[in-house]
Amino acid sequence: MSMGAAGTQTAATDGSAVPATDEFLKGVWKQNPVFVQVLGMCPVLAVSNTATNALAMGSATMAVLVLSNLAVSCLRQVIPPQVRIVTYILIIATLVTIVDHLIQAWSVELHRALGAFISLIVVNCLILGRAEALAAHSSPLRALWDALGMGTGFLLALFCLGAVRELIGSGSLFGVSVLGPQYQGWVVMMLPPGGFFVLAGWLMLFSWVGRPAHAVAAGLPDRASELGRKA
Amino acid sequence: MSGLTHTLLIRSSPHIHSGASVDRIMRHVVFALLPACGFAVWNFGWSALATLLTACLACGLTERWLVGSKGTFRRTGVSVLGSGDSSAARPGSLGQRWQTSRDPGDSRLGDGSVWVTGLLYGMTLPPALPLWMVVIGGVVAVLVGKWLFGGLGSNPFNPALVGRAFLQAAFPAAMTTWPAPSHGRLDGLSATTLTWPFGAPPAGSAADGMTAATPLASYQFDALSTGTWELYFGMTGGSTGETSAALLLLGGIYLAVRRMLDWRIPVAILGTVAVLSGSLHAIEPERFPDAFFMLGAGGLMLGAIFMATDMVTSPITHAGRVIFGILIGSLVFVIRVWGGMPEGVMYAILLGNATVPLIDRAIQPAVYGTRDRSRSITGFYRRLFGGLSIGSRRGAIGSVGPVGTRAVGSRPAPGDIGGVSEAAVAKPVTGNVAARKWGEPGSRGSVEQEAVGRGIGRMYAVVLGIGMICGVGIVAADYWTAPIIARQRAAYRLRAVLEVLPGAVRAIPFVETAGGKFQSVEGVEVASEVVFAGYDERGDLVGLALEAEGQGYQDRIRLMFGYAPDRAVILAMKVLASRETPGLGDRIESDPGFLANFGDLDVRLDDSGVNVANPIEWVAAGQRVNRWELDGITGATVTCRAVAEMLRDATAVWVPKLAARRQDFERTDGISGRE
Amino acid sequence: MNQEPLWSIFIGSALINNFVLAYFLGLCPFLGVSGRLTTAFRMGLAVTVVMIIAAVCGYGLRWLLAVLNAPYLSLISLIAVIASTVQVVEMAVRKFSPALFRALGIFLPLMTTNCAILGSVLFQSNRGLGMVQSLVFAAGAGLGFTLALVLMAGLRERLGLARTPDVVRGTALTLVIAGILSMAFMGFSGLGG
Repeated sequence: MSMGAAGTQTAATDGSAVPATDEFLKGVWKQNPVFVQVLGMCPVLAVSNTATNALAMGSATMAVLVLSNLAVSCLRQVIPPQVRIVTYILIIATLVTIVDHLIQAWSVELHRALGAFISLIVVNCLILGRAEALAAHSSPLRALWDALGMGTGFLLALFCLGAVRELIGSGSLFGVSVLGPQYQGWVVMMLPPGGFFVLAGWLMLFSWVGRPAHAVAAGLPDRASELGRKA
Repeated sequence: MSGLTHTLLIRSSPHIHSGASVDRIMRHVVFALLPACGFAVWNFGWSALATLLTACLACGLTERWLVGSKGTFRRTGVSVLGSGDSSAARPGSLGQRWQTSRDPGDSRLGDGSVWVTGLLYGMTLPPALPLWMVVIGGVVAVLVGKWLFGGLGSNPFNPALVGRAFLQAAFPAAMTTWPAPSHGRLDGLSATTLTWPFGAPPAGSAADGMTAATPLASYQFDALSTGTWELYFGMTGGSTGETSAALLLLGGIYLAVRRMLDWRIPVAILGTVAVLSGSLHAIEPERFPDAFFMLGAGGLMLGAIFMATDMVTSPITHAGRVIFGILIGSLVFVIRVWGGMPEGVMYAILLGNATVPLIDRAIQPAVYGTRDRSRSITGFYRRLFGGLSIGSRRGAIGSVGPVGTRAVGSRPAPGDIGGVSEAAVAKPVTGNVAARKWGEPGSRGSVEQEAVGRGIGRMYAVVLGIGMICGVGIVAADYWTAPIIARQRAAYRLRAVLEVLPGAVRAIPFVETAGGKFQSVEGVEVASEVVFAGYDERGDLVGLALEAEGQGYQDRIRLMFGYAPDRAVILAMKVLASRETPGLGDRIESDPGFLANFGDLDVRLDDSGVNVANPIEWVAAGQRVNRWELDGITGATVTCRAVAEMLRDATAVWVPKLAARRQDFERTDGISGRE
Repeated sequence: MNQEPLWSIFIGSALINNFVLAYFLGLCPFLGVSGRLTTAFRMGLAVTVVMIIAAVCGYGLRWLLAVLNAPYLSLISLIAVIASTVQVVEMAVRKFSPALFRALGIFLPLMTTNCAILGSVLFQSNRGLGMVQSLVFAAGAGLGFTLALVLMAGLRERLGLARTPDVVRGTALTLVIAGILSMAFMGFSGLGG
């Protein structure tokens, strides 16, 4: 858990002149929504059992995220603050419905594989979180870059999970056998426990390799973040 | 069986030292297990020995690697390993990063607990399991089951069972392949044992007659009981160390007499199972096995005596241990009798382990001399339900403060939802961020108050306006995509229909009318109960496609099958929706042997013409004799049986009707020649 | 209409396809409020109550949309219904039991964005459950959620004393426990069949 990185988010959102590349890259790496901020876990785990599903889900989420961030940012002067969350939810639900229709129109099989989890994008904390934390008080351009970065980070994270799960689980990637016909797949990786374990493994890897130096220096203990969660 | 010292370290007083060290207890546990292990080698041959040794080595070496990698803390003066070893981790190495943060260097290899874990883990595995799988499970057992939680004394789950559960979930087929006992013929290793790492075990081992069902499996799937003598002395198929109930019982008595094992847990588990099965057997002997069988079969003895009694993962108090035992016993019984699996001891103990903190919380011994009600059982429940102790959460409520207060106001709808959900969003966005964000709500707060004063009307207008735009957007999207979606769906269904009716090139949906006739509904949208008739190039009827649904192993299965009225057979089957276990249950979609069942699956009607002469029946893999039998897939019994039952029920309803109204579907003018 | 028997629906949604451990629904509160046993338990009960109410509303809504022939509006209206249900429950609790309201604190409003609730209503409509079946499904899902939450909270409280390695602190450790619990819950598979 690197709450340190999450802490810098507030600093970043307050600053006004942030280059677009930074805005983009922070979502991909430093504040990766899955591996660092641990947001939107439900679709992350539920539909990451194959790389194809993960990419489809990631793209759908990214599309909704980009559009909702743009819409919220454009409407930020219009929406009264008291009802903004309701409005955001309305906007997001609309976008999700449209994306859901588009996926259905594109491929029935894919829609079946993703099941109810497309509709559940509505309650993905990531999307509402970005709308509230950034888009509600930023220019459309900045909101767009932020959404693109966060969306890409989410997509990459989902792909990392999906690829590992599919590779170990069935020895293939995107349905193409990689490890040969003799490979004995680890079924557990395709099952719910595998999702938990692989995500835990990625989180451990991130906190082991990518632990931000300042978090260690500032002595931000993990207990604090846990307490923060509880409070 | 592990971690007595640590248990006492983290529990409250009194700290009584019984003179027993972890080391000594572990040695005696190994002694108690050895007879059963020896018998296993006699019963299953060298493969069993290889499995046991590999399991111990895998666990031991993993522990050594992990302990070694923490070696940077040697300077604290704590001797990490029992004897001087040379694996001191270099500074900056893995060890330094993977350090434990509080009380470093406190895990030991020397206490021997890891060998007991390894031995027990090996005893729960099938004797001919490929050794590479044994190694993987061993690594998982120690790494995930024990070390991630902080090592011996902190692990909430029995490490050996974590390793086994992982293997069971990862390699369900291999974990349920039981070689037949060889009874002392110590011939070579079985073919599967030496499978190339990460390779699939050689196929066909199931078919060559070298496997034997475990007593529980043969009871559940074939309703065959096993003789008591064979059962208790272990002349049966099963996991390496579980077959000999009598020797395990002896080992348990030895440990209990030497007071190295709390007799309450095994007695409670075995007693519960005995009482439940005894009473139900007395009521309905056909459905429920008797108590002797239930106690002696499967891994119950091994689990109850040696696994559930693990001191680290069982409750502290005597009463708690009895509850723990009863819970595990009931779970074992429920899973065995009503569950999809023949054996449930492993799951029951893991679930029991998960409840240990709750049991310990519920049965907290009152501190001597105090009458602190909050520590008693009633206090526990009062805290759980009523709880007025909100002081500790003041921070949380405070942060909702400005919004929350306003929400009390008389105007409920939009303002409130907005305010409330503000907190709702703040929470999931990880505590820290939220706390900081809402820590400075000053500016926003004042803006809000102004707004409240000014524009309630404007607020409604905006929400309404955005709602309208959203609604228009959705309707527009639906209007635009609806025809495409309908086309896609129809194509999907057509593909399924043509797949189950080989030779057909065109399909027409039919519905049953009130008069019992079937009517073409081509081009009309209908909701349910559709029969598809498939026609070949010349417009002749190939067959009829129907849907069937039923409860599978995980969830409902929906499938489509093709029925040929002229030959009275089922032509093919396609799964439309299932959540069956990948690699096992979902092989009903791909297993060539299983799919070969279809093509001439017999659904003839009997003479009366209202019943199917031979209802479809499920048989074990390779046992198909009659044309109405469905060959199963090894390891996917439940799913195959579900498919057979679904087909049987669907054919019983539909086949007589369709056969009687066959003329409704015969080729009609205008069909041939198209497409 | 789905013909599944009620007990099978209940066991299915509570144990076999436990919302958290098999469908990963409601993971945010699962990771977030499983730190303390008492709060976890209350959160679970609150979710159960809202789920049951939302099931009734969801059923009514399904019927209404079927009458209006506007299935494409289901998602947007469902989320609105859930938001208002949470709101009404919150006001009711505040009125009739201020003590419980304070005890639940922030967790009540949190529920609007709880995907377990939306998921439960969506599954009911996907599977075509009837009124009573929906209720049973929601009750099972809520109790299963509570069970998972309480088990996790107990384990986490106990592990608060453990010397866990740095890298697994926090979310990763919770996920590892969830994985093991999920494996243990696989033992319930097939109970309905």
